[in-house]
Amino acid sequence: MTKVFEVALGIVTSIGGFLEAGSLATSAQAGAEFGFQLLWVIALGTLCLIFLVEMSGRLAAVSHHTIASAMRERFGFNFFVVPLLTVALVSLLTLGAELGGVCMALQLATGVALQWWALPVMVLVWVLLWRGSFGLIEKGVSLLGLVTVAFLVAMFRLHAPLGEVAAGLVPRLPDHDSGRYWFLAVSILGASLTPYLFYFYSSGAIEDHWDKKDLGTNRMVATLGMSFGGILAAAVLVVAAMVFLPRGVRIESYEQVALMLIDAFGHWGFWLFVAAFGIACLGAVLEITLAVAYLVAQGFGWNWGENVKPRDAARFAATYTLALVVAMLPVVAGVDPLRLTNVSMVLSAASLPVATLPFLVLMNDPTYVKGHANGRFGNAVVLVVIVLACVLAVVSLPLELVGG
Amino acid sequence: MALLRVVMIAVLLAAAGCGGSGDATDVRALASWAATTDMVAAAWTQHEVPRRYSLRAVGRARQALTERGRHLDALPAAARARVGEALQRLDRAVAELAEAIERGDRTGAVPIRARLQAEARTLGEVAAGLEARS
Repeated sequence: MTKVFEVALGIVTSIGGFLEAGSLATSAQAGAEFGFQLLWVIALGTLCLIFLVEMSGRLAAVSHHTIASAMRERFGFNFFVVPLLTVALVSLLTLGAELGGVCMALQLATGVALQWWALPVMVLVWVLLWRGSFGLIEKGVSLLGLVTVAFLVAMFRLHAPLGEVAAGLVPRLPDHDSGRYWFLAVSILGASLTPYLFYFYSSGAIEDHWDKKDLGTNRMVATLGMSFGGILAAAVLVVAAMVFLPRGVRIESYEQVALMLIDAFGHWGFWLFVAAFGIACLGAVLEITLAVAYLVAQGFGWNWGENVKPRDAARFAATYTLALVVAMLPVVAGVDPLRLTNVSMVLSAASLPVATLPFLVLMNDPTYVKGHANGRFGNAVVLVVIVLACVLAVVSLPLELVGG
Repeated sequence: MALLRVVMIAVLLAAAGCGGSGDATDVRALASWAATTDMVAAAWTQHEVPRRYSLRAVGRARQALTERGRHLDALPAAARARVGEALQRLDRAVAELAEAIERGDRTGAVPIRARLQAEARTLGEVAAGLEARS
């Protein structure tokens, strides 16, 4: 019974923690501009994420190593410094975007400019990290994040044409604006496969003391939790397609996205969006801040752990404090959070080979995973998707920056 | 090096293929902001969004209209004239909407919606014409 509860809680928290500024913004933009045409990218990204998350948990449960510590041990520090810097920099940028998302939600709710919220939000996150436990962060905020199920409910309240939605799952070439189409495709892949996700997941598995007995739980949580999470991202795209596309609204700002649930819920729609957006971004801020600190601490061999008292892991605590301060700067400087989100999602996709290829090597090394190495299908899916995402990112980012 | 060369060629080819629709993109964005302002007006008159949000959203729309309005020089003369006139009317309508929201005058905001919708249609038609040409 305890096992069933554990699996259910894991799945529910995965669903509640799935949406964040990146997936929400990119799905809304894709739906507003291309209707259901980009749904297949969400499906592809989610499939790849299921494999990566399952691998992260399997590595931790079997080898009792996080991805970062195994990578450092297997390849040496001189090699590891490349993925370390790449993932840390991309994660900091993503953290800035998510922090901007929390501040934007507060601006939508109060009318007070988002720059004023940067410091209070940073302090709140810092206090939660300093005083809270891993369980509070992993489960508490993710359970609150279940409010994002509102997007799925909205999809049904708007009577989405399910046949056309299903047709969107078939990959196709765009019928207009091909540059923009591929930019959004790569943004969605970057949002689905942000490297911090699986680095965080493997560290979480070690924090929760997983071992081989947890492999079944890991598989269930990765498959069901991420699948339902992907359905939520798809629901955002569908709702945006039904609300914005017929009116000719293209998403350039979060003020526009805030209108997306009003057709489905009336007065409550605005407040549901604000709550869903704010909580989803807050959850992501907590996870990314911890992920950066995990990565750096494990990379340098320091004491680490959210369940360890800050004085016993001082450099770990100092790292997440510094990460928060750095991530706050673009928000204070007035950088548009949506623009920051788009750029960070594409860079996230571009960084995928550096972040994941060494990880794939580990997952095929019997020294670490013993009899639990990857199958050919898992290797092939991850390899194809990350190379595709990287090439698309390298091509589409200059186009977006030059062409606006 | 070979991979880098392939990527650079792909970037240049893609840039060449997409460059023609840049001016249409600006007009499409103007139409989008006109439609957004209409959505905000509709939601505000029906008590579905708070006043502070509405004011900020309308302010953001005015800012976007001003920024996008600066990039119309590349348009063909006839389209530029049509967009310029529509933009002036749109700017007046958005300013009046902002004043109505400031005053809390929901009844006064209702007729402005028809003007916003008309300008969104006009701009959408110009954008479609430009897209068809490119």
